[in-house]
Amino acid sequence: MTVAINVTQVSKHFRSDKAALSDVSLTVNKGEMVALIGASGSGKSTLLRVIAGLLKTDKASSAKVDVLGKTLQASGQLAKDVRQQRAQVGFIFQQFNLVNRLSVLLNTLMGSLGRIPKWRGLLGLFYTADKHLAMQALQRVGMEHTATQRASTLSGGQQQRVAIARALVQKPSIVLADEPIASLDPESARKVMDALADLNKEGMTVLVSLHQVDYAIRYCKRTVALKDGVVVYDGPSSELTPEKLDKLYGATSASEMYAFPSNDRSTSVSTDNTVQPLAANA
Amino acid sequence: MVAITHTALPELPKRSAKRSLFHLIAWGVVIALLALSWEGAEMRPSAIWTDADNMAQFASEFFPPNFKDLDFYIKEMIITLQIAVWGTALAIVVSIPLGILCSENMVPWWVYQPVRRVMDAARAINEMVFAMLFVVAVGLGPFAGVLALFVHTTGVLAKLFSEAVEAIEPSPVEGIRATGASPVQEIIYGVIPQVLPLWISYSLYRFESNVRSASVVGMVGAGGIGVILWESIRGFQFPETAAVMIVIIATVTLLDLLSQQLRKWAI
Repeated sequence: MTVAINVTQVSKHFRSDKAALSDVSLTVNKGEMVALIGASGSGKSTLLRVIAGLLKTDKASSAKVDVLGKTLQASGQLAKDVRQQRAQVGFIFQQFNLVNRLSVLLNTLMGSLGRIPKWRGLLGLFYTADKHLAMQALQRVGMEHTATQRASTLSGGQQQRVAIARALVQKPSIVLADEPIASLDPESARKVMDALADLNKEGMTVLVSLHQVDYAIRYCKRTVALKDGVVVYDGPSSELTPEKLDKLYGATSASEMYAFPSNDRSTSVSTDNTVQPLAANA
Repeated sequence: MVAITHTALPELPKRSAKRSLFHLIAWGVVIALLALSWEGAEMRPSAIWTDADNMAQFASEFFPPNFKDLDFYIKEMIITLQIAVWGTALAIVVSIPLGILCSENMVPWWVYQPVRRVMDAARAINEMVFAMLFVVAVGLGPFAGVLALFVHTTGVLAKLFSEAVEAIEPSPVEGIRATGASPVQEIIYGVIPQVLPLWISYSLYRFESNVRSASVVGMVGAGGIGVILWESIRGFQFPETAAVMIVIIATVTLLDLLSQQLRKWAI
């Protein structure tokens, strides 16, 4: 199996002394769909941004990030060809990060900026082939009928699907998704996760951070759990039983990590009676 | 009616002593500033009453306005508008890159600090002063006016443009960066669409102000209606002066209304 993402000994401190990531190592093989779980502030976003080259690691460290066999950054220094490398990695953001006032089609076409000549990108002279590709990508996520609308006119779930289309126009072999469904309703969340799972079936490597563990169990074979910037679990999602999560995160935090309550989940560990799991009303 | 006060009256929030003191000091400073400036400004409010007859007589000399040369005034007013159009247009073109270079979220401090200082200088000096300098440099006529407006307006617009840039949302820019776009492409696709409505609004506003300024720069020889205004005042031709002023007021009012409408559409 070939390696798609290789992260070694990555540490990241922001201005405060607390480490956002400390000594994280992680390998993702081509074709895998891996979930990254953890509470807010556990370092999921930081790790994904580091892998995409949007954030630099700490300088005085032996940190290294390799993407598709090429070094993207080492010891807090981005590679010279970071732009070409970013182009091969699609990134989906929690807040979609579309340009509101521009049309859906133009937003999607921006996925081609990284691989067309610079002057074409500057003047907005996109290739016709890319325009067709953008329409196909929109069609794939079911948004082709909105091509001429401004991005701001779409709902959150629709914007996220356009953001996926933009990532597809990059023709990436890896997609990183940073809490892509955290701002969405359950129905939109399902559509977005289905779209990512479909891409994975066609061979795309997907690394997706999720706040809720049940999505990880349903969509991803493998889960990496972060806590306070440290990898605390890396293994099959099926082994992430409620008991296991309680052990990793503590009972109260663990119970907040489920989107959908289920009856077979053990509630006996919960010692705090004031925090009632949603299951009580289900 | 339902009685809502059947229990003890809740206490009103009190104004803190610290806040009251602050208000007192602030007002004290304002009053002291006005008092100190009285002498320097040679304030003589009584002159309004003692010289009232003079002023009334002076004002009466303006009426009725003399519109004999209206065609000529309108022709010169159009030249003034053309000065404002070119002065503003050149300033907008130059302010786009300079505005970006003044923004602290776009460039490092060693770029935005010096560029900002240059823009401060361009803004600090009035159009009139620039006009006098450019009259010496390029000779009498409208082109000196265009250059004067161009330099001063660049100073103003670059600052206003950069303020808009500093208030953008960074997330769409990051979204574009993630596709592998270059820094200039990030600006074109991520920044400019966000600031464009504000930039249009600021530019139209500056055009309005520049029509007013263009009438004034004419007075130092930079062409347009200002020259006519200055000459008629100097020649004590007050009915003609009144007619010129009416032409200016009508034009400025019309443009204000028009640009207000345009600015509404831009946003």
